[in-house]
Amino acid sequence: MEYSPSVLGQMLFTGALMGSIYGAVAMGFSLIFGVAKIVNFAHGGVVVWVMYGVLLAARSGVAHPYVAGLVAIPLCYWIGHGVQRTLMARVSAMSDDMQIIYTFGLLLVLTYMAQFFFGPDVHYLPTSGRSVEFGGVVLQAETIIAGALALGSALALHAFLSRTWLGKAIRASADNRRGAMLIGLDVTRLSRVAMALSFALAALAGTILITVTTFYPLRAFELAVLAFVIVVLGGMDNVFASFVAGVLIGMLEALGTLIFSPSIAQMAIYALIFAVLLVRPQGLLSRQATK
Amino acid sequence: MQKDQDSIGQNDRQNIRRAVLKGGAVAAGAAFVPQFAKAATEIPIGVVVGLTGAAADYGRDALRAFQLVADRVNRSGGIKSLGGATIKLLVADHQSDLRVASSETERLITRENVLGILGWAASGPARVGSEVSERYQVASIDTSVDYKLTERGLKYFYRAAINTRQTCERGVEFVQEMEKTQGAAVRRVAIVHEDLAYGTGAGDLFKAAIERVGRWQLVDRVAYTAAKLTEASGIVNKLKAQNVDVVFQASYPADGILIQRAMKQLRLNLVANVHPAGAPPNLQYVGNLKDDANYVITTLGWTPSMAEKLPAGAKATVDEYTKRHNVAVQDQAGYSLSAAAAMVAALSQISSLDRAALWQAIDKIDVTFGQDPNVIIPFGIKWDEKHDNSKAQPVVTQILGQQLAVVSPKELASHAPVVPAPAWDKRG
Repeated sequence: MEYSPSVLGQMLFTGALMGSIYGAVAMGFSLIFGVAKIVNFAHGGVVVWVMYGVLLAARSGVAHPYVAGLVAIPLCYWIGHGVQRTLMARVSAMSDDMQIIYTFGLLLVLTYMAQFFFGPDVHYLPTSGRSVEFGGVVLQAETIIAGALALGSALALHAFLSRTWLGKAIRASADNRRGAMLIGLDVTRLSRVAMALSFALAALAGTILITVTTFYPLRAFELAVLAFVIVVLGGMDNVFASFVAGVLIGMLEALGTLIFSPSIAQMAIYALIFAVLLVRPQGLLSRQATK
Repeated sequence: MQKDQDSIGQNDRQNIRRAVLKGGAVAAGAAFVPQFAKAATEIPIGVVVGLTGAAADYGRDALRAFQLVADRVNRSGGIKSLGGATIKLLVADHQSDLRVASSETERLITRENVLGILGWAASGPARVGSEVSERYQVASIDTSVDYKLTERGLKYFYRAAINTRQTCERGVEFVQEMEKTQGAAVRRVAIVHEDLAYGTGAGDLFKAAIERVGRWQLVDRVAYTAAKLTEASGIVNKLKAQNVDVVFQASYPADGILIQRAMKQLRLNLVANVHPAGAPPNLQYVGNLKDDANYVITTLGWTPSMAEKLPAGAKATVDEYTKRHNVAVQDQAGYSLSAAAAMVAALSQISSLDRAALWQAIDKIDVTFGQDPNVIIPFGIKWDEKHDNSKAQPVVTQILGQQLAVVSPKELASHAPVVPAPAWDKRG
C-alpha cells in the first residue's frame, strides 16, 4: 500500500505530539529515579489522581482543565514534598527489591482508592472541536496544546537542571550521592525537592493527558508501565533523554500502526526495549556506561 | 398483608420440613440427599457474577435481574412442584478474574451444594467457570456473549444471551439491506477490533460474513491492544487512507470513545460504523461522546427503548426493575431475566432437588415470548444443538439524538435508519 504525504505527515505529527505527552509522563519518573534512586511506580497513580481532580473541577464548572492544572501543579509540588518527608523517607534505606515492592504497593493503593471513590467507569473530557489543518494534516487543538506544554516543560526542566544552582545540586546528588554529601549538599532536602518536582510533573502530565484521552482507575498501571518503558529506553538517569525517548516511542507507535497494526506496533516497542536492555542497558540516549 | 404472607410461608415451610425429614429417613443411604434435605424449603441456586473488576457493570445488572425473578417467585408461593420451596440465591463475586471465577464456582458447587448455576455475565469467567460446573455435572445458564462458549460441546452449559455470531452476522446483513433499500454504495470495508476474546472472535466472524457477501473488498483488519490506546488517530488515519465505506468494529468503551473521536477529528465519513454490542450500548459511550456518538449502529438483543413495544406483563417487569434498582434495564439485565426465567421454568418441572433432574428439565425448556412476564427479550427461550438460545434474534439499533433507537426489525423499530450517516461537517 502506498501512503500519500498527507497520511505520512498526519502520522508523524500525531506521533510526535503524543510522544511528547508520553515524555511528560516519564520525566517525573526519571527525575525521582535519577536523584533518589527510587523506581517509583506510584507515579502512574499520582497522574491518574490528578486527572480525576481536573475532571471534577472541569465537570462541575469550577475551572477549565488548564486552570485546574495550574492549581494542581503547585499543590502536587507540596504534596510531593510531604510524601518524601513521610511515606518515602525510609524507602531510600530499603533494598532495590523492597523499593519496587513498596512503590508498586503504593500504586495499588492509589489505583484501588480511585476505584473506590470514583468507580470503574471510563471518563473523557469532550474536545473543543477546534483543529489546525495544513497539507491534508488535521491536528486537534488539545493535542497541539498538550504537545507544546510537554515540550515546554521538558525544556524548562532541562534549563533548570543545567543552569540553576539548585538544579546542578540535584544533578550532583543524582550522579554521586556520597560525593554530594561530602561537599556539603543537603541530599535529604534535595531528594524532597526532586520528589516535589516529580509530583508537579505528574500533575502537568495528568492535566494534558485528560484533554486528549480516556481514563479510568486502572489506567494508572498502564501509565506506570509506559513511564518505566520510556525511561529504560532513554536512560534511567537522564530526564531530558526520557522526554526524547517518549517522542521516539510516539513516532514508532504511529508508524507501526500505519504500516502494520496497533497491536504489532505495541509489540515492536516492547521488543525494542528488550533489545536495548540486552545491547545498551544504560539506555539509548544515556552517556553513562553501565556499572 | 406482608405479615400474613410471611406466616403462610412459615407454615408451608414447617410442613415441607416435616415431609422432607420423613423422606430423608427413608433415603438416608443416598449420597446427596442428606445435603439437600436439610435445606428442602429452599432451593440453592448459585450466582457467579463479577461485582467488582472490569466486568462489574455487567455483573451488577445480572444480579439485579436474578434477584428480581427469584423474589417474584418466592413472593408468589415458591416453586409449586417442589412443595412451595423458595429460591435461595447464593451469590459469589468472580471479580472479573478467571482464577476467582473458577474457585468461586467450585466453592458454590462443593460447599454450598447449589442445584444449578446462573452466571457469569462475562465471557472470560464463563469460559473457566463453565468448565468447573461441567466437571461436577451441574447445569448452568450463562448470559455472556462470546460465540465460542457454546462451541466447546459442553453438556451442562446453556446460554440465554444473544451471541457474537448472531450480532456480527446481523450487522453485515443489515448493511446489505441498506445497500438495497437506501441505495448506500458500499465497496470497501474494514474491520477494527480489540485483541482479546470478544474483539478477536468478532473480527473472525465479520471476516467470514464479509467473505460470504463476496462483492465487498475487505481492505484492512486492524487489531489493537485492548484498553491500551491513548489516542486512535493512527487507526483512523489508516482507514481514511484506504477510503473505507463501512467499518465493522468491536471495541470496549474506553477504546471505542477514542476511535469515534478520532473519526470526527480526521473527518472519516462512513456509510456506516457497525458494532456487535460492545461499546455503543454502554452508558459511558454516549455519556462521554454526546452527539459525536450519533449514527453509530449496533446489533444486540435488547435496548431500553424496546420497552415501549413490550406486552403488558414484560413491560411490568421492566417497570419493576427500573423502580426497584433505579437504573434502566440494560442488555445484560435483559439476558439475565431470560436466564432466570429459564431456571424457574426448569425448577417448575422437577419434583425433587436433584441436579440431574434439573439439567434434564433445563434441556427441554421452551419459553414463548409473552407467556412468561419475566422474559422481556423477544422471542423466548429454546436451546439449539449447541445450547444457544435459538429463539433469540438480534435487533439493529442506531444512536439517534444520543439514544439507542431500534431501526430493525420493522415490528420493533421506533425509527427509520439513517444510512449513510451524515458527513461530519454536515452535523450540527
